[in-house]
Amino acid sequence: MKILILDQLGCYAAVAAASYLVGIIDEKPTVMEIYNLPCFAAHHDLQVGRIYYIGKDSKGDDYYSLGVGKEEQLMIRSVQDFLNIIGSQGSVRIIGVSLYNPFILSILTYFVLCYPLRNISKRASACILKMRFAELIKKLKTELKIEFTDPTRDMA
Amino acid sequence: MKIIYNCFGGSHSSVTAAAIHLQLLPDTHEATNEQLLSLPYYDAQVAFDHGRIRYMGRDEVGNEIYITSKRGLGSKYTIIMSSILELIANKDEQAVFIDTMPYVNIWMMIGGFLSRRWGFTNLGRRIVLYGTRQSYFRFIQLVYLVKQGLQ
Repeated sequence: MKILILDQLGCYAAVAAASYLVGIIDEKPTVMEIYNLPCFAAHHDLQVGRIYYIGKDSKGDDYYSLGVGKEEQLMIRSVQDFLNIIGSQGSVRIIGVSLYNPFILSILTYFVLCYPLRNISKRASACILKMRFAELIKKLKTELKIEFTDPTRDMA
Repeated sequence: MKIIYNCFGGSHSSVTAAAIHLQLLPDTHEATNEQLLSLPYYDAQVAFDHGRIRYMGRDEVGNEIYITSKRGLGSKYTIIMSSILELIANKDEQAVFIDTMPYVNIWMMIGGFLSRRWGFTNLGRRIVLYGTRQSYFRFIQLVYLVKQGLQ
C-alpha cells in the first residue's frame, strides 16, 4: 500500500509524520533530527503537487508526502473520489496533517526560499514542528489505529 | 478515459461544459434557461460537496465524463491530481482534467456567489443563467477543443 501524507508544501509536517511512520525518527525527535530529514524544507519554490518519497516501513508500505496548498480537506475528498473512479481505492491511504504546520511556519516557508536565511529558517521550522510533534503523533495513531511502543520498530 | 471538468464550485461552468460534451445541451445554438436548470448538479452544489467528483455520463466514444470543484486551487488542482495519477501508475486508466474557469465571466461569478455562497438563490440563479448563456459558445468551443485533443 502507498500512504500519502498531505500538508501545504509536502515538506514540513508531512515529512516529519512520514519519517516517524517509516521509523527514521522516534516519538521524541530532537530539532536536529527533524532538520536533517532528507526532504524537510526541501522546496525551492512554493509549487504544490510535488510528491516526495520518504521510505518503506517493515510491512512494505511506501510513504510519500505531497503538498496540496491550503485546500487539504477538499483535496482529500477529491483524491479519494478519484481513486474510487479509477478502481485504486485500496492501494492508497491519505492522511492530512496541514493542521500541524502553524501559521508562523507558513511564514518561514518564504524565508526558506531566501538563500542566506535558508538554514536558520529551516532550523526554526524544525523547532516549531518539534513543539507540535506529540499532537502530530496522536493524530497519526488515531488515523492509522496503531499502537507504537518501540520507536525503531519499523526501521527497514 | 476519464474526463474531469473542474471549476471553482462545480455548479455552473463545469456542469455546462460536461453537459455539452455529453450532448445533454445543444452544441449548435444557445441552451435555454430550462435546459440549463434541468441539468444534474447545475446550481446545486454546496460547500460540503467541494472536491467531490461527480459522474455526469458517458460520451459517444465511451469516455466517462465527471465534474468537480476545486475552489481557489486554480491550475494547482491539475498538477496535484496528475501527481496522484503518476503515483498510482495505473497504465490502464487515463484521466484528463479540464479547467473551465478561463471561460467563466463576471456574471457567472456574481450569480454563483449570490446563489451558492450567500443563499440568494432566486436572484443569483437569474444572474448565473444570464452569465452562462453569455459564455455558452465559449463552452462549446472548449468542448470542441477537448474532443479534438482526444482524437
